[in-house]
Amino acid sequence: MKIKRKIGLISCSGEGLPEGMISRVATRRILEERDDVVTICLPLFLAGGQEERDFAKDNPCITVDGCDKMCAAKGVQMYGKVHPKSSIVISDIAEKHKHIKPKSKSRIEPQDEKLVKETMKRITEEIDKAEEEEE
Amino acid sequence: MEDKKVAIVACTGMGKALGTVARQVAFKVVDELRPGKAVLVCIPSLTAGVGEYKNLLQKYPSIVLDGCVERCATKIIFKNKGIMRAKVFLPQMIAKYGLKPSSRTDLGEEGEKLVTKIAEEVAALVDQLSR
Amino acid sequence: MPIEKKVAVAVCTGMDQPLATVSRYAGYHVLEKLRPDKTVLLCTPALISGVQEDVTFAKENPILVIEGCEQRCCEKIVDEAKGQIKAVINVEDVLKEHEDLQPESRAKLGPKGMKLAEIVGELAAKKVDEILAGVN
Repeated sequence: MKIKRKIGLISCSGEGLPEGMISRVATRRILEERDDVVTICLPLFLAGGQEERDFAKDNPCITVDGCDKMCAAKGVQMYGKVHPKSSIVISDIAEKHKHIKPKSKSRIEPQDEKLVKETMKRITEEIDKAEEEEE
Repeated sequence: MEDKKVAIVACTGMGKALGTVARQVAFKVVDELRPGKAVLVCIPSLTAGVGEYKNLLQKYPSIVLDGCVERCATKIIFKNKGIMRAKVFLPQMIAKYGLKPSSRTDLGEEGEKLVTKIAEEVAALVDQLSR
Repeated sequence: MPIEKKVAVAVCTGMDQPLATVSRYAGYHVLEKLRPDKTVLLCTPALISGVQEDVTFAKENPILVIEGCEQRCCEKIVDEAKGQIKAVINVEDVLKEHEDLQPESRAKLGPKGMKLAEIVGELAAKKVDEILAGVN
């Protein structure tokens, strides 16, 4: 019987931009909705966390970055030699769907919910794609 | 002597003028500014399994040139297990330099200047990554 | 009333050779000048990277491929995406019949290369008409 691998979600932890908050909230909500995903702590990964790195090497991972700097996507490649299955950039989603740019770095305002939901939709699409490839 | 080259992966999409800009930037860097140091990765050949592009991508650090928010070149690098070490997101370059390409078939004077400016940035990145 | 089909034009977009650049401009010629109402662009990098719009498009529309060389990368890519290829034009074959129209370089085609691109575009336009005559 083939054991189904879980999908790792690696969210950025940036504090400099509101999109970092969107990334973390969207990832957290997906985690609460699904039991086929786990989250990987990016700072721990970059600091050398062996369990995080081992998981990311052995399981498909999706990075969720707040902005174009793509620290999660680049960081896991550079420091863990991990190739994400896919990478999501929230500022791209905001631009593509003409969402209002979020303003607060510390909380999700009501007008930011659309962007959170759109991000969750994207993450879900990528998870489903990754799982299809697993089958 | 260690072989330290840098792979240039340009989106080359046809939908927007910035796809043409990305393509021209890649040519300028590889053919004029850093010949021998920068190598071009042909995305269709890579995908079709033609040539040595997969090996290049896995051997050398890559600079990615994306023309729009779809970030096709970035996705393709990940799919092929390349290492993205630097990236240039071309829509930001229009604002940065105040230069806009005229159309996808004819970049115009501003578009050509934009190509030169971005190519110079990419050449500097090639120098950093090939040290 | 059935929606009239359009032909999706998929172009090599390769970067190795001048003929790949010829195929690019031939694609633009048929899409923008010769058959703008009857064709749509199928962007090859977007298809490869899985952009949903392009993936769906490839499955739902008849496709004309313009190849840059005998490696036939674009056909392989469209096949992999389960696109319905109805016709293929290879720029190398067209160049054999117009040997005086060698493009200058992969970055700059020059007047001869652009002329070659126009000729390929015109052949592509005829193929579009044939495909649509069979489909609509």
